[in-house]
Amino acid sequence: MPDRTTQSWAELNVASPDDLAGLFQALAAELAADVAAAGEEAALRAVRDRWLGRKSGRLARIRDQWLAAAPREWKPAVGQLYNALARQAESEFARAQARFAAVQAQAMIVEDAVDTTLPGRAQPAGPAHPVLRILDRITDVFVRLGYSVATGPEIETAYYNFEALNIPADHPARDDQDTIYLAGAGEELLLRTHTSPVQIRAMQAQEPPLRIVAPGRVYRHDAPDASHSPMFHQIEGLAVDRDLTLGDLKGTLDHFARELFGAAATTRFRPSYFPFTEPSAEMDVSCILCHGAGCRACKQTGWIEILGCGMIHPALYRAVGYDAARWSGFAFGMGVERVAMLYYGVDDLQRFYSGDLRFLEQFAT
Amino acid sequence: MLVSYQWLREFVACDLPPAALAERLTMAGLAAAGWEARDGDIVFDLEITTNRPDCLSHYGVAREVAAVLKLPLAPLAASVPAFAESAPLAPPPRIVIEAPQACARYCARLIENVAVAAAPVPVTARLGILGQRAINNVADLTNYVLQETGQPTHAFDADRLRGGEIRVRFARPGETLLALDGVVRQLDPSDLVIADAERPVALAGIIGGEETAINERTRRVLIESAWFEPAVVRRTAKRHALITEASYRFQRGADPATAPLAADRIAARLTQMGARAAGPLLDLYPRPIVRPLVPLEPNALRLLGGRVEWEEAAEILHRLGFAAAAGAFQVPSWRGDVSHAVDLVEEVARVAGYDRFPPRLPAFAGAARIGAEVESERELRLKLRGQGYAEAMSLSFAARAECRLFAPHTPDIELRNPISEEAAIMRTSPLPAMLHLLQYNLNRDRPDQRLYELGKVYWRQGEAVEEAPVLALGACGRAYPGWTANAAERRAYDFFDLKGTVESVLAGFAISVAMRPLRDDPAFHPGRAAAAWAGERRVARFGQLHPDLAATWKFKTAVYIAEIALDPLLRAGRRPLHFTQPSRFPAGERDFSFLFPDTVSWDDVRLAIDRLRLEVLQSLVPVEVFRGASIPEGRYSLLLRARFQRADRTLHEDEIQDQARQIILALESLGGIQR
Ligand SMILES: [Zn+2]
Repeated sequence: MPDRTTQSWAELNVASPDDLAGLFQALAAELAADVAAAGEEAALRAVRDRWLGRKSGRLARIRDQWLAAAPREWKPAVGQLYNALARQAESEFARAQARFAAVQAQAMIVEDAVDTTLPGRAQPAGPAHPVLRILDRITDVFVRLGYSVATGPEIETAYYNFEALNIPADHPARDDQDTIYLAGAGEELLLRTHTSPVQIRAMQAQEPPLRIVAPGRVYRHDAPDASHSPMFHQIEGLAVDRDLTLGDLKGTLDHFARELFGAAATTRFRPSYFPFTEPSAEMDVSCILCHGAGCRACKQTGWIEILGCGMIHPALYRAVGYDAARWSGFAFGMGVERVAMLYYGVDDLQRFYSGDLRFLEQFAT
Repeated sequence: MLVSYQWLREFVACDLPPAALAERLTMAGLAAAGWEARDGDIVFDLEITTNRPDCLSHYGVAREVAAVLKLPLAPLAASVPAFAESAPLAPPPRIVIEAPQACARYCARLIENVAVAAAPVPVTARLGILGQRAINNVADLTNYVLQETGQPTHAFDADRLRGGEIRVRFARPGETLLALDGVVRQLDPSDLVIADAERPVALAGIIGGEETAINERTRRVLIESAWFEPAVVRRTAKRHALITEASYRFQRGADPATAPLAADRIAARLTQMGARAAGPLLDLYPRPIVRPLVPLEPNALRLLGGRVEWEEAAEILHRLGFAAAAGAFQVPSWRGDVSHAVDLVEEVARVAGYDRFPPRLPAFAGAARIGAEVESERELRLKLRGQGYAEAMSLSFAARAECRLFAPHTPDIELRNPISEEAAIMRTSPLPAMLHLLQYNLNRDRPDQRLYELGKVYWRQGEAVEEAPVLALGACGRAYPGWTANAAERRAYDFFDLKGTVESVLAGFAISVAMRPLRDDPAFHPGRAAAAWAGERRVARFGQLHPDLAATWKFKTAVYIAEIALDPLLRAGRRPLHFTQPSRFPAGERDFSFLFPDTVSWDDVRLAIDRLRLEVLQSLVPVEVFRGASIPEGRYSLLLRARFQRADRTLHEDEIQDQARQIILALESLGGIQR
């Protein structure tokens, strides 16, 4: 079929309005067929150029040759039909364009797809050490009860580690905690066997009422094995006030046990012996594994020994210059590794010091 | 301490089921670790605290049971038939206590006509239940009476004692003793010995000598039952690393009143077997052990929160053998651990039962301080973990040779009794331990690691010892974990990853530091290490482990380590945070691409731009540093990004142009060529 838009008005031979309408109908059908035939975006662009090209597009030619050349009485009708065809073209092309865009977007989506079942990527936060995590938790329980955190040197004098704590030379308690000593002349120095020296230093520096907790590394002359280490962590606490009693000690530590092990934890206090407290006690907590029924961890007793405690021995008040008649108080202390082993079910103390990432990463949060 | 229930019942008529008795004893301070049926008896395993040597015997435990359960206690006595038929075969030895300060009492019984043979079955059976091996009647009886009364005794073959003398004295220089364990002990002048006229025959209160020991030919036996000073026995037992049943009790304090009784009970048993006592008990008591009369005011019971009345307290003390005397209590001979009012209060509390004191949370009028340093440390730990470093922990000890590699000039602190050679000193650097941790994981196929440890280092400063907190970082392997789309993205952890962490640590504190290359530290790669200085004080050193060291330590991968002194940082405190109004006006950015000779460092570039003092220059950062390919040898390409902004108005294009021109001129004057 010849391209009639290249013809001049005269060549069209329009005789009646029907002729004109037929002419435009044919063009509209041709346009629709053209657009429909454009199978890809480039083809559509070519079709668009053919019809809507600014200079030589068919619609431009209709406008320039037919509309411009049409006699006056035909002009309104030609103009109307021309506008309708132009609108149709715009909308047909827009629709086709949208269709292509949708297809392309769909193609992009398919192309962009990833295997969402692959593992995610992150720079994971490093895990906190289980011993320090427990140490922080214990510290915080006591801070909430008004205890301040105190620290002190790990290298100590025998005075602070023993004598001031009512453990004179040749006291049998010194057998229980074999001590690591520093070599060299001069004053005998040692690695503190407990954090109790911090308590003495705190009492020397401060008048009652006072509440402190002292966390830190301590040392014993023990060869490393599954339940011994020459270095481990302790946290000890001390409260001095007017009229503190054994009941206050029990209430405080019972609260602590429930904060750390959960509201269902129960405690029992049984008499024990420490040179720096009197009366002294061991606090047992209901076994966190069997809840008191009896298991291997608690040796079938239902109880697990957690800490030692007691009312502060008057000898300590004398050592720090407190008036024993005016003040009373209590102290407590526990091995942090021991609590962490129970808490997390760790079987071997040495794992804490190995740096083993297979171990440490289990404590990531 | 193993305790036979049947034996216990000889002294106290307790009929509680074993579980109930174990519970009662535990709650009174004699912790029962367990109990089991054995040969028709029940054996309890009691943990006796060091202050209660009086409970290291059946009679002692019976005394506790009687007091706790309010039951009568049978008396412990002995009757030894007097020997009257003829004169002793030989006179008893003359006993001389040369050191009464070390031996307060010495009792002895000379027994004749002894036939050394197996002990009677009731004796061996009881010892057997307690896990004690039968030896012969004399040895078994001393053992039996030890288990019964808690008093250690020793039996000498009286005929093998030379010179008719027993001397309790300190050893003389050069003296030795072949002890019953077959070891020849070199004696020290502070060792208390039992000697005859010529030589030591026993380490007092610890172990006897082989040469005067009982054997099957022994006919005359000298039973020794003494009271030795705990500290003296403790020192000697410790020096010779000898813990015996005897030394264990003597060094905790025996009952001086039981000494004659124990000798008599052995003698009585031996006479039942056909032996005879040659004369009366010999009893030298040059330094009587006097237990105190301890005053107790009712006010002392306030520790118990008013839960125990005075009458009950007095009654408990009476049951425990403390005799009341006008506001005071006489401590019985077996309770060397009691000397103060508070000791009596403890006795009252434990027998009344700790369950009597209801728990109560006390009020507090003070305030809690966590302390700036503890807070800083916690924040620091959180920061490091946020950057992917796992928190690790290692021992504070180290091998000297390893520390010397990292702190060659630091005088270290040596331990007198280290656990091992690898733990001979307190560490002067945390880096050897960090390398061990990294290695541990590498040996377990963990190539990608980031670790930190917050610990201490220790050193000598003249006469003084010092300790200070330190942070160690260690890393190797890939910079980021997980899978990648292409191999080029699998970047290794490098110097700048480490530096970034070190910078972020330092930035947390109110301290300004200058970073300088670290080329002369033998522990670090000279081209990949730096140090941070706060004035004259080096606060950090970090970088790649020196390849030579890496080879010695058998690292097959590049390892990055850092050591940061925390003391100056913690002292400076945390960097104060302060809000600045962000500019409401847009920023302009300019990129600069330059070729620089290798001799020009980033610091040179940064300083050159700093010197321009461009007020509106917000930041200047390197975007890409590139060497090789089209870049000529000895040069590198640097892509820089500058950001300009004003707080008060929008910058004009020509202002930015002008700034950029100045930057270009400055960089060109450094030898840079714009590309
Ligand atoms: Zn359990």
